[in-house]
Amino acid sequence: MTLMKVKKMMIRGDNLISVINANKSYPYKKALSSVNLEVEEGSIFGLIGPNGAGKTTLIKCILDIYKLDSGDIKIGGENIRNNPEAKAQIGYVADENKYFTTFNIDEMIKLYKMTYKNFDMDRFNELNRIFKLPDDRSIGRLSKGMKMRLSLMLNLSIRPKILIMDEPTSGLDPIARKNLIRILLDEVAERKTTIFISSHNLGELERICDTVAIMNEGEIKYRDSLENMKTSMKKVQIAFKEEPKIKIEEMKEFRSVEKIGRVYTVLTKEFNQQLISKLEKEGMVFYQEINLTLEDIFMCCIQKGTGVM
Amino acid sequence: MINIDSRSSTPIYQQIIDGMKENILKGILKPGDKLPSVRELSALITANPNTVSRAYMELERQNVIETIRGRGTYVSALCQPRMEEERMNALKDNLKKIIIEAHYLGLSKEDIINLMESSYDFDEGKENDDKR
Amino acid sequence: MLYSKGNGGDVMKYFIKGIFYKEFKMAKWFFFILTGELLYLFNLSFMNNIQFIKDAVKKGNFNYDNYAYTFETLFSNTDSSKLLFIISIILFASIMVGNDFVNKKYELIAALPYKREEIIITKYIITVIITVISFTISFIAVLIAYKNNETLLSCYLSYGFLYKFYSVNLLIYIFIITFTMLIQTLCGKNILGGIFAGIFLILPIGLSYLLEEVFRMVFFIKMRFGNYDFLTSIYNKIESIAYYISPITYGTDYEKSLNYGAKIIILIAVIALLIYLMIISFKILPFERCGYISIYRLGDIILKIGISFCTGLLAADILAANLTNVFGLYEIDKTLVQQYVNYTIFYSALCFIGVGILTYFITNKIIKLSKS
Repeated sequence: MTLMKVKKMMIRGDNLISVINANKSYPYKKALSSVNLEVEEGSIFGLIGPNGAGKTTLIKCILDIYKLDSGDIKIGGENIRNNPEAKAQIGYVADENKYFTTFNIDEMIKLYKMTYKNFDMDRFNELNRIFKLPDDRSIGRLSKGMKMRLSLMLNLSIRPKILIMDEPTSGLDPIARKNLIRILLDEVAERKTTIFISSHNLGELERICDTVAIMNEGEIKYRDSLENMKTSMKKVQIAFKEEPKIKIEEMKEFRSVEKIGRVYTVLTKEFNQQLISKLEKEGMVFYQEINLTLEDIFMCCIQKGTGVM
Repeated sequence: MINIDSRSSTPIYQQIIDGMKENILKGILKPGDKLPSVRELSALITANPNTVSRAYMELERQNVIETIRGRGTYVSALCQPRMEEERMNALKDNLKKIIIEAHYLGLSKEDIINLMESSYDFDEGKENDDKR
Repeated sequence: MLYSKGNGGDVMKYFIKGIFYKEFKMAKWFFFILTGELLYLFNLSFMNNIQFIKDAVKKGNFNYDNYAYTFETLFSNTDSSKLLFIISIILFASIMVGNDFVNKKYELIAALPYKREEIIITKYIITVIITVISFTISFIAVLIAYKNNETLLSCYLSYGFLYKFYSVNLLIYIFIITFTMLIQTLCGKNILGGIFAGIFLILPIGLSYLLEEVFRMVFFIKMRFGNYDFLTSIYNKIESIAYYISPITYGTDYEKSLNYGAKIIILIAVIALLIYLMIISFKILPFERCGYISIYRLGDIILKIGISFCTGLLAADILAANLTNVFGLYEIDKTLVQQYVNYTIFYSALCFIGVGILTYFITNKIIKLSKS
């Protein structure tokens, strides 16, 4: 599998990352359960889920750090298993960056230069102007945030087609976080890099992602573009004159129902005239569509236990 | 310049389109003005370049902006803002908000209409006052 | 295919890769350690002995017998210089593989664009080459010293002997390295794999000694009142089997167990097999289990049973030896011997079972803790 061939496949705009029926079990836990995922080239993809959902395991399987029990992971159409040409196109910034602690920064740069043909020292220096790594240059003395920044700088300098980041903004102060986002957006704008982020920071993801997947208990509960999510699902506040006879919580049109006083806040995909009439018959006096956020969808997926799709 | 509310139900690309149109309406952007590139705008408002690119494409389709090869993207000289429609929508939204507020205060539909009519009187009165 | 160095590509391409740079950074220290050890403990002793002989000749009281065993022991692997060297290369080999288990560094390495085979082969090549160079330097120094004093030393040593020494021991050291790295790929903790490898290397010999004690008790009566020969022949048989299957002993005496040619062939064959297994083992290593005492469940079972068995046997042997003295089995009357031998066997067996079970549970707990 030559580099040229891999690059050609990637340029076609196919799904750059394909996870097909991935399964992985640990002795006491099923970490990945028939996971199917597609990431398009040049998009920013967000993976969210509670702790222990399997996000990190999925990411490590995508990178061929862990092996799947069954299923495939393809990068640009090629299986990632033991595939250095595909791996050379991927940059990885882990949530814990435990380096070869005996190395210093210069030696890490040298390692990356020797490992990746496309390593761009100019890009590294350019990023260093923003991140300003301390001059003492020994890795053991760097803080967690600095290690993460170094990892980001190294992995962006290899000019990757895909950048995979696991919880990149945890442990960063607001300024660094803003810088990070700016750099990522710049990568996409300039180089059409595909970015895959796993994060707890829903607000950030909501802002910059094209597509989002919600994961829980080893399964993908929801996967769609943010735009579709916001246009297909609606969050509506409904008020009734008195307690409605029909149980609102059990209505199948509603994906999630919250009640405060006599006001119900519901999530639904089917807010149409038919539903409105039905509710008016039950005594609805007032309804208003309010802003649907990623957090709402997230809560809905996690609490309900079943998919929202 | 343009404010993006990521928590809004309106898709971000739509917000960018609306924001651009609003700026043109308000006169912040005039026909012939140069717009920031996709990259610049995405950095400015912290939005996904794909989204910005999509918004630009849609604005171009609507002839609100135009791209000149090698030069950049500009507000369309032919752009004729549909002033009425935009402002009409804004007015409708505001009215709705007021009605909801009134409803919460316990006012019935009649009460609201009475309030409106008294507002008209008040307004006319004020106009008369100003004219003196 | 025994193994492929980069799928038929040339070996040289291993040397320009980042992974080589990364491994060499650590390995280069061992070069100095190993060479230093040999030169200081082995070569220096050699030179000193030559000096002693020279002095004796000068004084006129040179006696062949005084030095008869000096060189034999110096060149054997039970000499302290060699033992230290062997322990060092076991540590070297196990650290080369095991160091990346610490802090899950393997996860970073796995994401780099290298094939799994490339990673383990690079580690292996570096370790072997450094060891070979160290040993070769030491040997060349010996060769030169011998050449300059050939007249003095030719009654003790010969070129043939020296070349045999070099070739067999070199292969033994490569065998030890390969074996250790293989065991370390089965054990998720740095250095512990080396310890296990060391134990497994001498296990046949050790077991043979432990079993001999068992036989002594079982055949005690026959041995004390009958003829020794029967027992001696059993002992010898057990020992020679142990020596045959422990390549680590091949260098001790060049003609004792097998002949030279057989040793070379066996060593090469075993090394080739171990390389193959080592590569496969590394390829299938699940990195999520870094830090476990045994990566595979089978290893858990083998460790638990093996350690319990050997510890139990050791305890029973010690008890049996002590009871032999306490009961005075060699002194008491013939009529009482059987009875007391039975007591000894009974208590030893009890000890074996008791210590064995205790060790089993302790080992089990330790293995479980390593997984948390």
